[in-house]
Amino acid sequence: MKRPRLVDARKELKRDRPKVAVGKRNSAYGVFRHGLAGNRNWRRNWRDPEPQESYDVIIIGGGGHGLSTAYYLASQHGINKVAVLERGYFGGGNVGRNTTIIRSNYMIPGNTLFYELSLQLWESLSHELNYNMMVSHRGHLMLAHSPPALDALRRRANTMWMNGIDVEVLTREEVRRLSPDLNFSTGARFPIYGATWQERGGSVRHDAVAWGFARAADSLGVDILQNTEVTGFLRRGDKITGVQTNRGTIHAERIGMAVAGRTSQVAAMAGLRLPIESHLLQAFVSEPIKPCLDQVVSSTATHFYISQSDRGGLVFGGHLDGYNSYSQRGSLPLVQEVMAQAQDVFPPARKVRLLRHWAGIMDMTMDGSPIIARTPLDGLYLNGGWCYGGFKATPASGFCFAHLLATDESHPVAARHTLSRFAEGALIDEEGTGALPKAH
Amino acid sequence: MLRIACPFCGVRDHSEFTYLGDAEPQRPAHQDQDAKRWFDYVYLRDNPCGKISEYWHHLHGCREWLVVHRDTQTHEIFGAELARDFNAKRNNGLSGGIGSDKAGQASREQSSGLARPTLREGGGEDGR
Repeated sequence: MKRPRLVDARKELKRDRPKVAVGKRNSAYGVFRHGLAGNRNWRRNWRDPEPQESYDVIIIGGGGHGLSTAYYLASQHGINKVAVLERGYFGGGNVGRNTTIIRSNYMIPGNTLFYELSLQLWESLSHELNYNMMVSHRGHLMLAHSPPALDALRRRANTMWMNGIDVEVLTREEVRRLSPDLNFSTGARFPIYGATWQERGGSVRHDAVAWGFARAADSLGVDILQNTEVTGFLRRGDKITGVQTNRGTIHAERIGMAVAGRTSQVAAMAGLRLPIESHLLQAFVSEPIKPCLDQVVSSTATHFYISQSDRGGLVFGGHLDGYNSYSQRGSLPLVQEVMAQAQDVFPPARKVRLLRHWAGIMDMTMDGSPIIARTPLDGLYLNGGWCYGGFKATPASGFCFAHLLATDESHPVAARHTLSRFAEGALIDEEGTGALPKAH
Repeated sequence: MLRIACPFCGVRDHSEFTYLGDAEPQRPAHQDQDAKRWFDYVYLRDNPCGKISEYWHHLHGCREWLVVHRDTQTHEIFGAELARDFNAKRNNGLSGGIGSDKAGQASREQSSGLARPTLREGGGEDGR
């Protein structure tokens, strides 16, 4: 029996939203024509404007979340006097440093519907933005390596099902039929007892997400200001009225921070201390090989996850490095640990050489869940604390943050992601590990 | 690999250690009922980009709690000391905090119900 959907992106998106007017710029014919002309005549996909004196809304951070917030402010709420301030070049942070997985198999109230909204937004996003993000619903397998782990996954699947989210629980044999190259040997360190299977899960080309949102936001009038670093906040009493930047002072009614990884530093300029630590999460990609892994696979026991990119590389990752860091440089013990897991969970990886690995700075919150909320200061709003879940949340994060910035009310699916929940004891602790960020 | 100079064991790989985090927040006194102070201690962090003093536990070594002084941007390590020494210095010669035998003893006594009333009324006796 199919359960009704408790959240439906088709109903959330306004019917009369403006169309992204970038239609004929990039056509197949255009690619052909520019190819013949030596690719010298491509037009810019977005403007490079000078900062204005004031905006309705300023978003600090030109990553996936900041750009999607700007897009939804313009398209859903008709607010296009918006600036996105980016210290470097946009899309240069975590939106290009993840393992590109999308899924919505979260169990704790608050996260379940939020990530489901995000997955639904992903489904139509390429059309919405008229930009091919190569959203691939190849399906997501979450492996159980013991009978109790399978019970836990069943419970999670039931929660999802009750929320109208499709998911199946597969037996070992069903998993084998789906993905025969996983480790089904008798000597496996992590034997496969079963899995949950979310068919709509998959992967997305992550750079295209930043570019698609940027182009769409720009076409709706949003100013994307690159090389614009916020150096301080303008304050009148308990109200934040603008920002100081290396390109001058900019005023705004409302200011949103979307700078996950660096949230503590930006918030500190406004005098805020947050329940966040910055940690490193590494990702790895192998040399390209022929298609051999059709799904996104994660393993409950090891925190290991793997998929194969369209180019053929195995893309995988594991735990945090385990200590506070802003270095964007992973440490070798974790490389060794993740390689060991890769070899056991997906034995063909044994023969494959690693091409490169990198690290992103994660905002790790004290309960492992994100924050989309007001701050104690009027006019200043926070989007951060994305932990592991940042990339897959990109559309819903922007959607809900735009709602908050436009209406001063939390969107219902993000209503629990407050900053005050830590003081109130209303934690969203998916892993149940308490106030220890490195353990989430 | 970070290389931590344990005061007992010498320079060791960081994989021998477990990590707790920033040593700056100080645990309120056991009998403290101010929710704000507990909230600050449990949840709020400076999360510095640069120098930090942090607790590491030499689990696969001497099993001492250490405070390691490190840079979160470069991973340079400036030194390590016993956590009880760090806390004693911080608390003006009085012991307390992680690595302190006295703090451990006091909390054991309290949890076993054997604490003498004077120990509570003394307030600040344990230096926090």
